[in-house]
Amino acid sequence: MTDPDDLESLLAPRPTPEPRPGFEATLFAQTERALARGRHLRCTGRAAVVAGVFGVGGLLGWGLRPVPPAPEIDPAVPRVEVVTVPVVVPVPVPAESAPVAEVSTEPTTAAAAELLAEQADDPARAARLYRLAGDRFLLDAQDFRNSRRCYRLSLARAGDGGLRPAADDSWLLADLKVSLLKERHDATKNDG
Amino acid sequence: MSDGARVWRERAVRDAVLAGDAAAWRGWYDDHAPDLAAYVRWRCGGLPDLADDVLQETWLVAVRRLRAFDPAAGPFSAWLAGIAANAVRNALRSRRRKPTRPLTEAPEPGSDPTAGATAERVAAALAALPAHYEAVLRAKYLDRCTVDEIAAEQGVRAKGIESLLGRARQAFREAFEADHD
Repeated sequence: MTDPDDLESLLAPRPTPEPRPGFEATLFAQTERALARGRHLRCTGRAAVVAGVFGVGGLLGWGLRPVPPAPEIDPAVPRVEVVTVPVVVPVPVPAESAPVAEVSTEPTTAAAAELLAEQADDPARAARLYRLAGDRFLLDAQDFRNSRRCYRLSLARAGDGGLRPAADDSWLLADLKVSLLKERHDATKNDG
Repeated sequence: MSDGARVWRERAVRDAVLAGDAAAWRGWYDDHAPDLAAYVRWRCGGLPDLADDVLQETWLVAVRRLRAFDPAAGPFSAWLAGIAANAVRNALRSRRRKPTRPLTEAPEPGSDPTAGATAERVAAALAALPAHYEAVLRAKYLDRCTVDEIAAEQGVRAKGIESLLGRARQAFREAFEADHD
């Protein structure tokens, strides 16, 4: 193999053999499928990268969001928890046809009692109110003069029945009843 | 076609193929398939089964790595030839690692029974050569270029090509004989 021409028989291209049937078409179809697969992978990869960037951004945003500071709790101070319980309060609604409740007219002061007694048409009620006014003047203010005046009016409106002694009579009222009974007794004696 | 125009055209075709242009791929494939098939057959010593395997592997690797093809670094045909050269080496190593697989096809009646073994030795010797020796032998024996044409192509003097060709022949002989031993 010292002659360069000897290589001609080894390195010269051989006659082209008969191509295998379908080999070229199959090979080209394989290359097309590989190209399509590569495109699909690139698109999928790009979409995955975009989704990953959005996901990382979302996680970062969630992780870096401002957090309000936790309230400081002093362990020395006992924690008081206020529990609010709703309570239903029924509100009475008066019917239109219901009678108006009578307002209590019981006076709380001597002057008020005397005023109501002056306005009362019923003699018994007027006598009771005058007596109440006399009690108030006597016990609350030790006002003997006004107390005596109210007691006298009470006995005048009560009539003869009002002179009967009672267990709850004040000392001033009892004295007035005795005085009036004595006057009445003396007057009857003198007439007789 | 000037080199700038070739780079521009191949870049446009590559981008079209990657974008899914089937017609562009069909045209590009048809343009290069015959030359690549001839080169692979030559590199395989004319063994048809080995050549088919290498050709298939070369095209599939090329389409998988098409994004990496840079027209400015060299023409598409040279890029394909580089992939084919690696595929030949891998295929030869694989064939020789498998003792159960026959090294050559069964000789047809009336044919030279040693032709298959010789073809494989040629393929192995070419695979063992440095790239510049293989390139000058390819230009001389496969492409049938004269020394002057090779010199003009590579931009060197004819004397330099003759010298390179002599060294390449000698390296091939040594590799061919070494494979026989």
